[in-house]
Amino acid sequence: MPDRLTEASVFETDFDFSTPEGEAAIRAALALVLEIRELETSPLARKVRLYERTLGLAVMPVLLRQAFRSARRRSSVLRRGAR
Amino acid sequence: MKVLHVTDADLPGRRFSGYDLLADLAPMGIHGKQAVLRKSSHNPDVVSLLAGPGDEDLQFRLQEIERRYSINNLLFPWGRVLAETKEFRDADVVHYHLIHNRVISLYDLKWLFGLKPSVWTFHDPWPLTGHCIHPMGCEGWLNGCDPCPFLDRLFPIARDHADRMWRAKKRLFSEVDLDVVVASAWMYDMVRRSPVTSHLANVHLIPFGINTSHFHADDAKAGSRRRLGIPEGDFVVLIRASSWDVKGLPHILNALGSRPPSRPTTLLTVDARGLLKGLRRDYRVVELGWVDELALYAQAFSACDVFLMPSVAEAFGLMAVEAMAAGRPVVCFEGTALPAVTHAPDCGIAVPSGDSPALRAVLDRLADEPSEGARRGQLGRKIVAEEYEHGRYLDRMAGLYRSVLERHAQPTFAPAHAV
Repeated sequence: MPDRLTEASVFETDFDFSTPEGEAAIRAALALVLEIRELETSPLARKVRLYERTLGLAVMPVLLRQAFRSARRRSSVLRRGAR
Repeated sequence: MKVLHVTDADLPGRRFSGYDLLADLAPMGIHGKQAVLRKSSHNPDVVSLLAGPGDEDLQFRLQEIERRYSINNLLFPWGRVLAETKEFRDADVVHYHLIHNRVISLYDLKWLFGLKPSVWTFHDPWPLTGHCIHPMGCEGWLNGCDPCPFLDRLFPIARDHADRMWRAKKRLFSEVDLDVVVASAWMYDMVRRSPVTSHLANVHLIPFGINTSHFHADDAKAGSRRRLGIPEGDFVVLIRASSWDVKGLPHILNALGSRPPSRPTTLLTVDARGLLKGLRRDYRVVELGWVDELALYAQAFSACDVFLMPSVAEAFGLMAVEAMAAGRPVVCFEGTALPAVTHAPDCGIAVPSGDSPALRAVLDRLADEPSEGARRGQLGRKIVAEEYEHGRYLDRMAGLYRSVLERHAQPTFAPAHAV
């Protein structure tokens, strides 16, 4: 399995960047992108990998929360159906 | 007063995205600077945001990521670099222009607007849509762009995230104190109808102005034609030849290629070369290419009998105003800003969008009845003098900056400070 995080692949998922928490995650990533930009010692290829990984890592908690809420909704619907 | 203009580039689009205002407003006490992604002038009042080693690579990489993941203008960090510049810190007012050309993340705008009194000129409808620059008849922007039927339009997206982008914009505009400038009644109407921006209190309709003295009087026509190698007796149609189909080249080719002209006709083009090859059998084609030199540009308008501008999307249409200033009639499509900007049907001539036979019928009529073109041209000059004169535009922009600063200086103004 490829390292999905390095491809910032969260945007291929249901990550909803239009929510306030999605916005906060992306803004956090932008700050990190600028920090990486200022690293003087890293070669460009490593910086590029870091940019993408940063985006993936920044939005991952939001994605996990969304997945958790969605799973909880599903399980609640199933429980209601079982009654 | 110090005003900082923020946009993608300094010299391209200099007439409408701030660069020319730097010098033009200085005599009125408005001292301008400009911050751009890429600087091509040597003007010390312009600062480049892509200035660090590797910044171009980072920009390219972020563009790629946005393209791959079907998002628009969320990942570009240059707004933060902007906020660190001396020019930003010193500015009394910051005027944003084409910032959706991958300059500033949409999500940094609320923060930036909270730092300084801000003006944003909507040069096109992008701030109101899910991803496209021009909806071109699609009304999705009125109800959330969900689903988007035109994913391939500029800025194209592969997966349909237009609804998310639309919601992100709606939230942004619900939380900011901002003065918006639009150049045409058509754009003003869109801003007022959009659920994203209809609530904004400070929307200003300020048409762009042009320096009318640059455009030649009718008696210069013969000289302009001589210099451009155009026979004096030809009917001359000026065209912007652009491969961007929004500018209407397919309709030009259909209209002109449907049959030979009834009298000798020259097609005079600016912008791209080689796009009218199929018409060379029936028409003389004179291509000027991309024209930076003002004198040559003005000669093109002076030499023509009519300016054919069948854009299918246009939020203002500066070239139409320039043609009017030169005393030439403008032929355009309905459904854009152009009919209102050219005062059709009295001055400009607008035909239904996409109707190439109607375009051709108008051209034939103007070729056969030069008096109609002359009458419309004369009216065009009068309209330009009354509405689009450069001095009037400068007065209105200076007045706007002063009123924005005054309003923000009042104690009731509470800037947003989201970080």
